[in-house]
Amino acid sequence: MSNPREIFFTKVQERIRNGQDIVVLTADLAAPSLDNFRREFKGRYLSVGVAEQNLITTACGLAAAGKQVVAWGLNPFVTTRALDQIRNTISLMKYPVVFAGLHAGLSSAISGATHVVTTDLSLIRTCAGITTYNVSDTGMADRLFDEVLTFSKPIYLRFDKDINYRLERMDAQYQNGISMIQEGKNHLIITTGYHTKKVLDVVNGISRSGFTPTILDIYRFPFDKDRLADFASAHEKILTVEEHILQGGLGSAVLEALADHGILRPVKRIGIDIEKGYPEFFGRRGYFQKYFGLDDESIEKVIMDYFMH
Amino acid sequence: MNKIDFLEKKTQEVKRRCLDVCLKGGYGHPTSAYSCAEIVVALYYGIMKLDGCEEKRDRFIMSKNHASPILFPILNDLGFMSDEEYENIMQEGNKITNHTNIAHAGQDFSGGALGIGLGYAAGLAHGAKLNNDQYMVFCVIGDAECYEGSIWEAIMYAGNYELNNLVVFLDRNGMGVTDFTENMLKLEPFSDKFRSFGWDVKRINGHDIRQIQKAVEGSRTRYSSRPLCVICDTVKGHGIDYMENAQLMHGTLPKDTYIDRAYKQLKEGSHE
Repeated sequence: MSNPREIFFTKVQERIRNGQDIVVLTADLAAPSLDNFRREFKGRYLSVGVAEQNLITTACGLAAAGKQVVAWGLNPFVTTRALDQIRNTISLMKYPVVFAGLHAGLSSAISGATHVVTTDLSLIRTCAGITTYNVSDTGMADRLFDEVLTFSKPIYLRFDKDINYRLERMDAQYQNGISMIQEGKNHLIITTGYHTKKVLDVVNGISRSGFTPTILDIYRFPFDKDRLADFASAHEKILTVEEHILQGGLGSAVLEALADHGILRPVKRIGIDIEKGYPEFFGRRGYFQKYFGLDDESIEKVIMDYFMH
Repeated sequence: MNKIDFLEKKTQEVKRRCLDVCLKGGYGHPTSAYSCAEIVVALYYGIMKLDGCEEKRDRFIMSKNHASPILFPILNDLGFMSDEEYENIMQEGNKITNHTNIAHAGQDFSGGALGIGLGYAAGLAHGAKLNNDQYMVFCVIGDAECYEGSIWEAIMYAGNYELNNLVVFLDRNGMGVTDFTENMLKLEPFSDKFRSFGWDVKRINGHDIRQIQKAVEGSRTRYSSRPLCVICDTVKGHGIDYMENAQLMHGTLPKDTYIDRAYKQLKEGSHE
């Protein structure tokens, strides 16, 4: 299967054929798997136009009428422009709407500073009762989207168009928001989404010299803080890696978990420092990863400096 | 007593009890509540179908939700809110604040933030049509609330999808917080704007219950394929001389001798 977005909408269609009362509300955003959907399920494909605020409020109204609603639009606008609506409808009224944004992190950096999706994890973490899914491979998508499509709670889905592969992981049970990619000792690397594979690739490159850290993939927010604290206690040093701002994202969430559990461990965070501002020049994802220190070479250097010395 | 007399007296009673609630809680927006009092009374005591199963029960969305204290006496009067709940409105630690919550029976929205209720109402109305449910969705929006862009996103949506089970009462009291709307950013011509988005529009005196009732005639039988906007010309703070059209009275409660003056005018029915 090509990527999580296609897996998701294919599952949506399967469920509708099986009698589930799902409607897809779109803010004028396409997906290849939605082309057939629009023809086959005309009355279940509704558009608000490029109107993300109304996407969220109308989705909630449809949910109030008993529909299972997928609200689908382009990020960051689904989360940043419509944050007030998300807070005051989905979060406050607790409707189990699934709202999904295409693009995560720097995946759409080519479109400019307005289109990078590097604050959404922080923002949605502040909305009570909303669970964020940040999937990191197709196998995970295949498993977790069955859970998402039960429409049992408000969910934010974060799609990354550059995730089109399956990762091997030690723990694919997906019980607590934390998936162990590999088990090592002393050193703990915690990452999420697109950077899961990146970290794994970098570590595999270094591993020839006997470096074997534990790698955790946080695929769901909030995650099980107790479980994370257990992992932290069992290691000496911790590194977090995220293609997201450092303020309020994965690294912050890890620090909060450790602080709340009274665990004192050195923690270093790699991510986008908001003090560096927005990417206000032309570049693709790889270019800006280098700019923000999130490319393979930069990550490897941090790992070597931080863990090896 | 004929029905109109009853509703007019009920409006005065509801406005008195609204002021009680606000004064007891030490908070509220009586001027915003009084401009839409007749609208809400007409809806709850005649226009809306309040009982029946979920597929048939009409829905009510107070989008200009700071006016909710006008709704609470009605919900109590009609048995949706217990006396105990009612007595504790805006008392610290109590679940009933100055805004509605989706958990309150007899209405259908958690409000407070402007510009949100109409999109929600449109989704609800659309869902009803998709489900072939027969209920109507009634929504009260404020005129100054229409400065919010999201309101126009929702107006466009409802017009496009021909949500003729949606009726919006636009409380056109002509004021925002600091000034008259037409002194700020011009909102008129409202009628033309709604019509251009595919809505039916009627413009009435929003304090005349007969006109409110007449405006929605035919909506339930879907005489039109379009959603309906009833533009209600109203007066902010209607019925209390010092509140009417008074700038910066928004969110202000009367004090001292002004309290008795308000109650006296509400008892007499009008200061005019």
